[in-house]
Amino acid sequence: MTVERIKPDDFTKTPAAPAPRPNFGSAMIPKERYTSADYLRLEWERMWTKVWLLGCRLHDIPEPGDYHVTTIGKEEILLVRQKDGGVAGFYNVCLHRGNRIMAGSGHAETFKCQYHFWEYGLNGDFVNIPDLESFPQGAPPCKGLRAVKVDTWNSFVWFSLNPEAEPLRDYLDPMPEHLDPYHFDRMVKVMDVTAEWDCNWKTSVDAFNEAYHVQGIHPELLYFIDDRDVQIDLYGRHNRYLVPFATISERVTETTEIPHLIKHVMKEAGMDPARFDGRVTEVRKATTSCTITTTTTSSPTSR
Amino acid sequence: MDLDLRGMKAAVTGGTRGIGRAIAQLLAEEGCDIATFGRAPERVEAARVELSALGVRVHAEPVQGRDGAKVRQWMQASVAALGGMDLVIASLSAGGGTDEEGYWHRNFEIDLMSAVRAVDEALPALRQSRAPSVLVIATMAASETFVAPMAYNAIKASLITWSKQLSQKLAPEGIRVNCLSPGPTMFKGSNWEMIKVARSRIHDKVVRQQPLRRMATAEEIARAAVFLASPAASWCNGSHLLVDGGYSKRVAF
Repeated sequence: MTVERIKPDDFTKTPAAPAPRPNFGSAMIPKERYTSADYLRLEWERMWTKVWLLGCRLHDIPEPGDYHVTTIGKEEILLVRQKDGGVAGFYNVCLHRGNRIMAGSGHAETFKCQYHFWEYGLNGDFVNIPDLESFPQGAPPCKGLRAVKVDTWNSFVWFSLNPEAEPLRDYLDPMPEHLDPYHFDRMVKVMDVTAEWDCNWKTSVDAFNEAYHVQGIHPELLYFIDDRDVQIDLYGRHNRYLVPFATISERVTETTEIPHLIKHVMKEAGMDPARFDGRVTEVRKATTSCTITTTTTSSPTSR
Repeated sequence: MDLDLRGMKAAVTGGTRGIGRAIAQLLAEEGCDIATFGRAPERVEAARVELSALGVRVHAEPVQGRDGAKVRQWMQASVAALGGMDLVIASLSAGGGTDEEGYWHRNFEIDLMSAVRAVDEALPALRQSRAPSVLVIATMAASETFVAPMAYNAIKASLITWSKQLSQKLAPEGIRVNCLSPGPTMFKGSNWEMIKVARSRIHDKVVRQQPLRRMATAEEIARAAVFLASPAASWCNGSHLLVDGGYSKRVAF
């Protein structure tokens, strides 16, 4: 399906045109991709340790010394705001006995392992190794914590376990063109929810790549979105889908009254639903002063 | 019982869906020619085709009920197309809303004034009829506190008052005027169908108030409406019939 952008000169300038459709065939997907430990291992070797991953938002660590610990697989990464305003990332592992150094998020002047008090600076360098003179071999030959690649885009902090990772911008292409106009840097996170599912990670990602489940899981949305006329675009590693909002599904019958969620959108767009004499199916085109499509992108993330 | 409707000409405002559509259907099955209007061209066309298939004449136009001039023109065109008018059923409604000012204007124009204008334009033809009658469709929500205070409930109440007083004025001319107030009614494309899915708690609460644990069908409302409008109800004048399946609890002494 192709979604028609109702306002061609939309302020977001996010491309709406459909991308060429790759031919993936229509063979059944082997269930082993969801159940096999070997497949999971291959994903770790060839994907999770190679790609750029979302760590946190810059707003989560605004001041030098602010840190946030994120996880990917069995690894933990300590993301730290530096004195120069940049962000660095380290494996959250003490070089002495492999103990976890920090947990959660907060502010620190130094990172001190609570096992033997080995202490690291914000840049990961050794600051203090208690009784260093009693180690005949001296301090480990490295300078300190093992760093990972870190970069930022659009207020998000990204990291990669791959020392050879391409520049973040190249990796994200073409999503910045789609999402830069939304200015996430001007947005404030008001809720942070973690839901842990006992399933393969792709089970959850699959749900966010379709609107097919709306009739079963979110039937109330049948009176708010068009769940069938959805445009899915694939851009190599990334994808997006466009879902028309402020309209009703083909699965339900148009009503005399405007459904309440659509009324909310109309008000946000400066329209008075009480004075709108068009039909429910005409609201979308009438609401030209706001963005009515939502763009959802999918990309591997870490928690 | 013979409703004596064969060959009569009936105008139904908002007769392209729901209760109005069911009334138009039943009238056509009883042999009435039908005039109606609605907002959606494809539903107007569907009603025209389906009603015509019953072997009666049909005049149907897409009209936005807020447009007073268009409502008047529709009635004039209906009288001309059908060659007279015997029954006027004012069924059009904008539905409920909130208590915001815009909804007062909306329900005033669409629920109340479309009825006043349609009856006004039909009067010369009604005076020529052998058994003329006007039926106004109000709502149980006019006499029973329901969901929330809103323009819909109060404007519909004004229709009840108007129909009663109109019945006194027109009775000497042989024109009967009655009013029918349906309770919550479920049909395909009804607002309740939407509320059942989109705001299920409101729907479920209303159904729990119904002694029969369900809402009316449009056909159940239409059967009572068609009787009241028909010559068979010749001694019903100025009556207000509540058809709510027992939703309202007050004993109306």
